[in-house]
Amino acid sequence: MAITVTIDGRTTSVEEGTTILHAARDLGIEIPTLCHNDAVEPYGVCRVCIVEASDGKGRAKVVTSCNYEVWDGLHVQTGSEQIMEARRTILDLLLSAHPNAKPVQDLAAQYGVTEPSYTGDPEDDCILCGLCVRVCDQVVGVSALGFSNRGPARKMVSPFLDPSPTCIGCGSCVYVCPTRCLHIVDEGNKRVLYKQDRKNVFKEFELLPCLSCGRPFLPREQLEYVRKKFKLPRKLAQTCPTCGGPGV
Amino acid sequence: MEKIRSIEQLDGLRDRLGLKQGAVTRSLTFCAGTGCRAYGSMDVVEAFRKELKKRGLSRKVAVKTTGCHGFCERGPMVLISPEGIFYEQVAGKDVPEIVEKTILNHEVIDRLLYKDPKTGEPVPKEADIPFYRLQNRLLLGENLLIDPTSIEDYIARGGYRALAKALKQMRPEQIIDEVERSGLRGRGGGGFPTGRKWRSCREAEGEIKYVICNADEGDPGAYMDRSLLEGNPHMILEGMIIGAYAIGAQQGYIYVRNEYPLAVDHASQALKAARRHGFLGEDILGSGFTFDVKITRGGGAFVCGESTALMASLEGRPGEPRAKYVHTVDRGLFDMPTNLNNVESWANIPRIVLDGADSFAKLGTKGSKGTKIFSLVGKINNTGLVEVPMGMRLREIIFDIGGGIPDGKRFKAVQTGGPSGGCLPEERLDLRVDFDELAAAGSMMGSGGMIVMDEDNCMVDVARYFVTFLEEESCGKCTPCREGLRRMKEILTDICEGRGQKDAVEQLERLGRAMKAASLCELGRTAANPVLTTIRYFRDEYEAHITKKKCPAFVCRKLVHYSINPKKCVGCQACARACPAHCISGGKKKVHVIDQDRCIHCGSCFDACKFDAVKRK
Ligand SMILES: Cc1cc2nc3c(=O)[nH]c(=O)nc-3n(C[C@H](O)[C@H](O)[C@H](O)COP(=O)(O)O)c2cc1C
Ligand code: SF4
Ligand code: SF4
Ligand code: FES
Repeated sequence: MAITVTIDGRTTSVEEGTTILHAARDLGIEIPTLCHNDAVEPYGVCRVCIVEASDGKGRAKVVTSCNYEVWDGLHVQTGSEQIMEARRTILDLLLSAHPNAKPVQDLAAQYGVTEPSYTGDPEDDCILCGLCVRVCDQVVGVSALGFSNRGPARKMVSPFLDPSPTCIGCGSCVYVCPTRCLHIVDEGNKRVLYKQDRKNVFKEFELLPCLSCGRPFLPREQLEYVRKKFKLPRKLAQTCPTCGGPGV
Repeated sequence: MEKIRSIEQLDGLRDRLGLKQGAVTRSLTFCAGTGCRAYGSMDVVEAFRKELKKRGLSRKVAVKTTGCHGFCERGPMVLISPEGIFYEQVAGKDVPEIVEKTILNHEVIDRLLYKDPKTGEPVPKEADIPFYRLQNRLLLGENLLIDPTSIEDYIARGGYRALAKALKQMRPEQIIDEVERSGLRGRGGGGFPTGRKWRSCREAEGEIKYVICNADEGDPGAYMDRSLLEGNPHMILEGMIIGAYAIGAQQGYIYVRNEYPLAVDHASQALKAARRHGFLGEDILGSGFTFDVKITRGGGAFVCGESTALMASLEGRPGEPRAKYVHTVDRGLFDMPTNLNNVESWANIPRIVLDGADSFAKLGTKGSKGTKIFSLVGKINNTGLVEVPMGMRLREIIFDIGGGIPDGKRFKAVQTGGPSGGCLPEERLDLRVDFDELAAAGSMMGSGGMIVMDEDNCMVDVARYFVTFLEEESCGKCTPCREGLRRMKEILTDICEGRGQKDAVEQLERLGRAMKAASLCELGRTAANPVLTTIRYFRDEYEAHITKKKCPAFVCRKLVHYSINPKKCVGCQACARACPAHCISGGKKKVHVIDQDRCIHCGSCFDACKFDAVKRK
């Protein structure tokens, strides 16, 4: 069923189940996000995507556009004074805590925040967006990452502490991390996954050689996982993409 | 025990139990709640049992242990019926005298009576003690009459009669109508209309539905839910069974704080007894309705009391909140329609069903009906649990029931609603306590905590205290709450330690606005209340700290300076002996001097001087 929504005075018709973020994109209206990626379920934690939602008459509520689904007759304000002020404060807070996180710097600058109000940790770029955790759980399906501690002490970690027994070293988390604070490097027949710097190694892998060219390319854990999941014969599974293997 | 299947059978049992209890002419009732147990009430009970046995009175005088009476300040206590004589702070050594004088010879022992702090007069009867007289103890009152481990006690008081009425004589919709008309609003904090929540859950689609009782009670200093679950578990259970029938739920959970072993124990015993009597399990009371309840122990984090975090924790996932755009009545526990209510909300249900919505709605204000239990703590004479009709003035609760502020000090503020409630000043003492009035004043009902503060409390320090608690309890998932609280704590600490910036108050307000507007859950959205209300009502204290670098209440150590008035100092050396930094010099009978560079501002000298010679400013 199609639903009519009005965003910043412009009306559009979208499918039921569409989020405000996507309805706005349809209209070419940009709402900033830091913890959203269409590949995974929304999480709604960075809070920069807040907007005001109402029925057009009553009082507006502040909601996060990445996970709020539209309904017929919904009115949305993406840049009211209240929203702009709160968004600026949130960006200031994020920039303060993670002064070197590039996407935060860029977005904060767009909102006029170039100097953070408070001091934070220049060597902590993880903004706790949870994209890595969600990708690992929802896309890869091994749930090797999670969070520990509460409040400002919250940290992205591999649960039950490292090294995670379920991590297969696929690097999907590295790929989605918006601040590039996760790293994966291959050194000879070794692969290392770490956060921020080499002091925080999550896991080290032994790389198996390509059966065709002999180049070490595949963590043993990944081979087992791929063979089981896709029922691939060993010969195919252990052939690198360059030589015509499937890759992951 | 044969299962009960009809109203007649239940009434018959009630009458038989009532007769049996009526046959005992005298009874001694002891509070055996967690508070009084800590004061040694169980030893006193044992002493009474022994003494009565020694004198051959065991059959004539019944000894009953009950849940919390609420007057926790005064335990251990005993209530002697039928006279209604109340003895407080009873010790084992008083027991023979009480039996000899009061029980055998009807003589009252003045020494053990409660004394009215205003008049100093002893008050022999419990009913005349102002603390009790001015309350309306619809829920808590039952605690005095019931042994929580005895389902017979509950049935004799008319227990499970509401369930029988609901199952046998009412349709589910009728029950929901009744609860909706009663005006009952959730007692767990949000004040959401209970009937409306039930209706949404009944109308939601789902093969399985759940009801949950929230007994997480993470507010420090609050214990009303514990006292109800501990003192009258069947009343809560009966409420849950009625709710489950009305909603169409098959399974219930009681999510209870792990630190409440007695409540867990009493609730487990209640579940077993209810199953034996046919109030739980298959085909309840022969109605065809099937429902059962499990007890789950909570992990202990404050945020686990929040509805979505609680359900995540029940499912075995980390206890963190999620956005509630999809309501839990539609998709809650295990993605099924789920109705969560607070202990006190459930406890009100049997009476509403039995006596009707109107009798409940008679009490209270326009928007808030019935009674509410508050835990009165802090600088107050009568610490304890207080149940009053909605709409009672703060002043009456604090001064008439609570007995006012100890040691003749001046009232300064009361914080209502738990750690993220607001602090209300003297000018607000005539506020009528209900959901809407408290919210309008910048505070909230919360679960009903009331912390009273006097002239010796510094309001900036108080704000810092609550922000520190909330910062530790924030789950850390969303930015405004996690980072906002962290910075609020830094700013408040700076102010308390003399480093407050000129724009500190503005910064706090700006952070508060963002947290309120943009946090994911209610913890973050309310967390700024203590800061924003202390700024609103006590701005001068912030200014004194920031611009004058002074703490008017002399609490913030680094801002208090001590010196010795040479005219008053007699050289007794008391201050020098008390000073842990050894920074006071001057020999015997000589004027003493504080070395300001080494002074740690602890105030020991101020407390030690008997000649008023140590000045602080
Ligand atoms: C941080 C936080 C803690 C909470 N703790 C409790 C609690 O301990 N007990 C409770 O009944 N409700 C608590 N609540 C409120 C619940 O989320 C929920 O609104 C309530 O249990 C619903 O029941 P009611 O409608 O009967 O009030 C808490 C809410 C928040 C945001
Ligand atoms: S490591 Fe990257 S993806 Fe993972 S939570 Fe931190 S910022 Fe987000
Ligand atoms: S508001 Fe606080 S407690 Fe609630 S989700 Fe956000 S960080 Fe967690
Ligand atoms: S993008 Fe919506 S909360 Fe982060």
